[in-house]
Amino acid sequence: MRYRWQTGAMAWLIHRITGAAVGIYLLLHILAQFGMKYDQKGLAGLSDFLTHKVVVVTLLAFLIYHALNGVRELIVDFGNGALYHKKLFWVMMVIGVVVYVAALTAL
Amino acid sequence: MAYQTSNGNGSFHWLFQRISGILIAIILVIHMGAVHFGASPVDLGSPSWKVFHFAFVVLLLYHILMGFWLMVEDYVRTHWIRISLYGLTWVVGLVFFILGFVTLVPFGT
Repeated sequence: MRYRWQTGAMAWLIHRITGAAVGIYLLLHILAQFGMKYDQKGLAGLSDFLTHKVVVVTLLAFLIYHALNGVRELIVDFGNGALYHKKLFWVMMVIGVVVYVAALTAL
Repeated sequence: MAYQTSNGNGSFHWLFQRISGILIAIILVIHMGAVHFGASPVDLGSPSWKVFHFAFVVLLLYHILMGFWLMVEDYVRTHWIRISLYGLTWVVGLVFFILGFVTLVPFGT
């Protein structure tokens, strides 16, 4: 598979990468909650890892990107976003940075 | 050409990936606000929160595993690996469905 190094393709590729990472995180989050509920000592380290500052800060960035690019995809698919999808990408990124800073402040 | 593990033309999954994405975004904001950023604690053991989180788990599993399957469709060409990953997708889905269920039912007790 070949990638074109343009805004749309990059947005799509990053959407995949962040989606995979957030997906794995959320599955581990479910597993960690199970471990806490049933007092599984082996899963205690997993909870520490998932709540580690670096992990949480990265998760928030990935999550916000994935959600906002998802909204962009909806506008492209169901609206006329295909006509201005590159501009839309950067608008979403600006909104993302604002939301990210707000989330980090509230942490 | 449709592979043996593909399901029709996939248009339902294409649409539901978007619908589940919208629902997850809404639920996630409520979840993060109430559970992780909340100023006052909420009773996560109440029936309504259990139903809320169980719906969250189901939608998430669909969205995550369909995303995973899309990547398999794009990158994996070897037939037996595709079949194995299709099986793995179902196993992960069922295991985490059960994990979520047995964690949420007694939650808060």
